[in-house]
Amino acid sequence: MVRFRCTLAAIALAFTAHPVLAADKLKVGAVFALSGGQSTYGEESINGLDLALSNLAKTDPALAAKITVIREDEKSNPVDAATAVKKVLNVDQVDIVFGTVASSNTLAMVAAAVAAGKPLVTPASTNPEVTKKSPLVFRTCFIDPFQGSVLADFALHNLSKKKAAVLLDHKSDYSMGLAQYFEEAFKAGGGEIVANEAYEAGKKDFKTQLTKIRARRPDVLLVPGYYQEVGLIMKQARQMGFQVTMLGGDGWDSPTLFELAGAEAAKDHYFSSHFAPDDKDPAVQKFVSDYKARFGKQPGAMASLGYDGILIIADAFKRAGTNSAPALQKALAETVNFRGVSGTTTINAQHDAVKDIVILKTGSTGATFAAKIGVATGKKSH
Amino acid sequence: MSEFLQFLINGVAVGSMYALIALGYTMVYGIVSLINFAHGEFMMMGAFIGALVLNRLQGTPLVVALLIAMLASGLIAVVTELVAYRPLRNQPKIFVLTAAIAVSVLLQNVARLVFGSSAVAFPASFPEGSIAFDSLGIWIEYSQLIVLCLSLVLMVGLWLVVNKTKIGMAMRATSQDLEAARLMGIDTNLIISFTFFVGASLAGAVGVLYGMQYSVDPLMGVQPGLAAFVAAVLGGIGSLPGAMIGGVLIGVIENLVAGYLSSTYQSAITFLILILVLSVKPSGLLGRMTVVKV
Repeated sequence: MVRFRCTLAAIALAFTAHPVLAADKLKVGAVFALSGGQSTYGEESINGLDLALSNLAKTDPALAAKITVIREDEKSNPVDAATAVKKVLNVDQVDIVFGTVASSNTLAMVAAAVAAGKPLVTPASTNPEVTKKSPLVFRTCFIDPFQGSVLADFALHNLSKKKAAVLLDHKSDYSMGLAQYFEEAFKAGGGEIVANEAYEAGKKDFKTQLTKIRARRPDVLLVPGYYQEVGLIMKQARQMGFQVTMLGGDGWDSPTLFELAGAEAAKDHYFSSHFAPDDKDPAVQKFVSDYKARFGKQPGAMASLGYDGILIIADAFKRAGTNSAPALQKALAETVNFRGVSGTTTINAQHDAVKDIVILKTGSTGATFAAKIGVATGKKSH
Repeated sequence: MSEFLQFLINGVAVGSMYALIALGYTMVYGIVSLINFAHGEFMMMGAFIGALVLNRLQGTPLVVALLIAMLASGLIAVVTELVAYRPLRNQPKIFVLTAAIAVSVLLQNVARLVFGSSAVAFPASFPEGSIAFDSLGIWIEYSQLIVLCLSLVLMVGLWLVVNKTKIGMAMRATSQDLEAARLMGIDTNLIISFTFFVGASLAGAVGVLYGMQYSVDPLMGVQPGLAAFVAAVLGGIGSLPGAMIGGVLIGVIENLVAGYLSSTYQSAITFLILILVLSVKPSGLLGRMTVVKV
């Protein structure tokens, strides 16, 4: 027993004796999906991050030199996300965690970051619960209530639809959250929800759900899922001759959607997102051309969010002047009108970002800018 | 009524693919008493190889790509058996079961490294459109019809091989009693390899059909693999007709549950039904009760 205690003491000593890192350096643990179903998002986020840091090295080389990034793969699932975040916190001893995209996975990461007392910034998780867990958690994108209510408004007023059906992924916090806020706003605006069906990510056959939905004759179908399933849902709806305008959130935003659905099935649907590559804003156009030059393809929304997210962290670090968690937390909370490629970001009292939303219309091979909808009040509905 | 028929059609189309995968599970179990958890991955490999052939060799007829995919899946299974399962054959069963799980994860990751992790569209697709029966209010898609016909052809083919050929007789003998079959001069190692080959090539064929209907990704074998395993158990593991019936039944149950009960609890209710069936008839629908002598 005595020996056991000695060992524990030695371990404790080893930890405390860890060389103290210089306070003016910032170590960022970037945890994203580099494999699995959401890997397109992870790759884009990391590409955005890389591009942002190389641009920062040109505009503010002193600041860029102080920032190092450790990458870790969350493998598109909550269990591996929790493991990955513990690795960057405990082994790499990062000062701040940056990640990830899927809300379920970010939620799995929050506990470890809070336990370690380090701030966590997610560039793209839109479920409201994410930032309710702790004041250490921030997000630099809009939240699902805003996304869901904007989509409901858009369906009611811009598309003049009155009967909506919902087909959601019932294992995804993101999908269920978006659907809930859409339904509330759609009913409040005088619309009717005629069918409510679910599927499970990983399944590929949705014909029975679509058969049921078709029988209820909706004039618009909300599919708040991710592109892998949404692409197949579009394809199968067309195969059975079910023509309906589909609506979705930022989970659709991937070129893969169009490959999976096929040119004809992918056409004439709408989704909300953070960014449209054909937005005329000069900052957006410069970002798009830089990204294309470096990675050889068009950036998606996640690239723009990864880009802005790391720059918001860098900006907060510069204002804080130190890597200590309380100082970083305070500086992040004080972010006001940060001009990025995905809009102008202000962090509100709930530590969510207040910014514009973009509606895109799908074509046969890609989506184009359809509308930009004004800034949310930033007040969450309770 | 028309809705019911439509759900039934959707269920049979998916179920016939489950049935083809389930045949592989049940054949391998019948001969070496192993639940080969890597079986779903043989299907996934078939899909990727079929897609690869069609992408690299432009103009390859679909039938040729299908045959190459079947052959490749079969060979992967033979090598898997040789390298991972055979050395463990005389060890406790749990060893080889663990090896099967390891092979499953390994193949998923190999596919991810070689082909990438994102879902891709299969380079060929079924002719679009469907045959509508307006009086009944139902329709059958060409893709569903092709899947059904091809499944039937493959099942009849398998039945002929098992029941009408010499090697089929050797397979049946080996599955009845491996030791006795060896004493009768049957090369049981060869028969085991052949069984793995046939089972996996059926899975590879499903991979191509599944890919053509939906999409191809490294984890695509997991869900159908699980459904087919359940189908094999439901039908009575070790029984070929049982696997076919079990597969179609699971497909139909899944779709009827989604259609009439709840698409939210589709998997939960399907598995609940399975538990109920097994608690009433643990040997499965067509399985034989075996008495274990202690």
